[in-house]
Amino acid sequence: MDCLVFRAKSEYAKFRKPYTTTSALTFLCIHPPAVKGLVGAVMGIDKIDLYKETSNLKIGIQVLSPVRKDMQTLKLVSMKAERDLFSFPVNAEFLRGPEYRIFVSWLPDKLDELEERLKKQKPVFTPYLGVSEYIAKLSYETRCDTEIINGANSVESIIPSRFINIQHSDYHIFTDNIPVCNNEKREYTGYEKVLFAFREGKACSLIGKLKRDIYGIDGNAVFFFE
Amino acid sequence: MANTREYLLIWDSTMANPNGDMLNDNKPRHDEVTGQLEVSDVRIKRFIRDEWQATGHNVLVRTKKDDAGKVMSCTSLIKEIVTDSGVKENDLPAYLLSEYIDVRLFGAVITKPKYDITGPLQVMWSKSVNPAEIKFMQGNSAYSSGEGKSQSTIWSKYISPYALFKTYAVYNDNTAKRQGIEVSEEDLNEFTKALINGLINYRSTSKNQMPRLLIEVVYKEHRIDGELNYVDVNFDTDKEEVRDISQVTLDLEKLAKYYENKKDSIDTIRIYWHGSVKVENLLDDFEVIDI
Repeated sequence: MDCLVFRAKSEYAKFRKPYTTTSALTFLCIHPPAVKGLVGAVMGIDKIDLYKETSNLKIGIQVLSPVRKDMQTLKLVSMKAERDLFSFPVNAEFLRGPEYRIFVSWLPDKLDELEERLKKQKPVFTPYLGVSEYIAKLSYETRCDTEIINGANSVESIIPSRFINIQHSDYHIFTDNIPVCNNEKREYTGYEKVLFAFREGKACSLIGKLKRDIYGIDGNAVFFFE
Repeated sequence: MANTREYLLIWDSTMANPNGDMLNDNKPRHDEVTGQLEVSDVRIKRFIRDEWQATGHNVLVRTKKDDAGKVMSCTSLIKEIVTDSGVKENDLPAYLLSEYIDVRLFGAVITKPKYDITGPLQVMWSKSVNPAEIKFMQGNSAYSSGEGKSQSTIWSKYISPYALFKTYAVYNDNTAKRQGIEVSEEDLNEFTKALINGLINYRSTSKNQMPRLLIEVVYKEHRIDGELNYVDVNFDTDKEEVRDISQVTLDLEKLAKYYENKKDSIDTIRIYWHGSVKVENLLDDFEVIDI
C-alpha cells in the first residue's frame, strides 16, 4: 500500500468536542476527520468538496508529544443580546505543544501532489490544528510502500481499543472517545475509543495481540482508519 | 495582488500585564508549567485595529455605542452600515471587503445576514521566550468607593516585570484569491505599520510594550514555513532575571541560512528593528525598513 508520512506540530491545538458549546472541550489528540481537514488545507480542497474528495483516504496517527491539556479564557461576542450583554468570558480547553506523525494512504496521483506540496512547503491554505490561530508546521518525512505485518504484537499509532488485547506494562495509557468518520454536513457519525501510550514522557508502543491489519512503515507498526 | 508572506515580530512588555486572563483574577495569561506568558491573537489584532482606527481607516470590529450610550451588537452595527450606505444585502460582503481593511485582512463573521469571510492573514497565539515572573500589586486610589467612608479604595492587580514575546503571522495569497478578496501591497504595508505603531501607541496602566524586531519574508512563489522561528534570542543573564532589552541579543543566523536555502522562492526579507536592540548576523541582502 502506497503511504506518505509527515509530521504536524504547533504550540497549541484544539479539536473541539461538538457536544460542548460555549465552554469548549478538546479531544485528547487529532482525529481522522481533522486529519482530512489538514490534508484538505494542504491540497486546497474547498470545504464543500472535502467529504467526497477525501472519502478514500486511509489515515494513521501517532501521538509524539505528551498530552497536556490546559484551559484558557476567551471573550465571546454575544450574537443575540441587543443591549444587555455585549460579550462574555468563557473557559476553553486546549492542548499544549502537540506533535503528531500522520500516515496517509490515498490515490497515487493525490499522494504525488501531497508529497510535492509538503516537500516544497506549499500548502494551498494555511494549515492549523483545530482553530485558525493555532497555525501548524508540517514537515514531510517519507513516502513508501507498506505491507501488512504478520502476527503483529505491538503498535505505535493510535488504535481502537476493540482491536487490541492490551498487555499491561510500565507505560501510561491514554484513552479518548474520538470521532473517526463524518458525513457531508460535517457532522461526526462514528466514534471509537482509542488508545495510545507514553513511557517517561516519550511516545512508546502499545503491546498486545492485534485483531486488525497493522502495516509496517519505517519501523513503525501503524493502524489505518478507513 | 500581494504575494504570500510570513511575519515574525519580537516585542517586549515591561512592568505590565500583556494579556489578562479574565477568569483567573486577570493574571497575565501564562503556561503554569514553563512560566512563559502568552498573548492571544485577538489582543495583537486589537492593537492593530485601534491603530488603524486612529489613523483614519475604517474598522468593522470595534466597540461602538448607539445614541443612548449603549454598546451596539454586531447585528445593529451591520444594520446601521446597510442603512447609511444604501448597499443591498447581497452586495454587503463585497462592500465590507472594499471599505474595511480589517475585514479584508482578518475576515469577519456577520450574524445577520449570515456571512463568514475567512481572512487571508492569520495571527498565531504568542508565547514569551523567557519564563516571566507574575507579581501581585496593591495601592491606594484617590477616591473612596462611596459616601461616608474613612478610607479611599485599595486597588490590586497583577503585572509581570519583563517578558519578551515572539508573534508569528502569515498572509496567504491563495486564501485571498479563492474568496475573491483583493489585497494590495499597500494593505499589507498598512498592516506592518499598524503592527509596529499599534504596539507603541497603545499605552495604559496595564499595557506597556515595544516592538523590537519585525521580519517580513515575502515569497516569489507561494510558500508557508509554518512558524518562521529563525531568530535565536540570547540573554546576557539568567532567563528568569532578564529585565531590559539591553540584556538581549537577537541572532539572525538561522534566518540567513533559511534565506540561502530558499533563495529561489524568496522575493525579499524586510527587517525593522528598534534602535536599542542588538542584532547579529544581519545579511546585506535583507532590506532594512523604517516605520
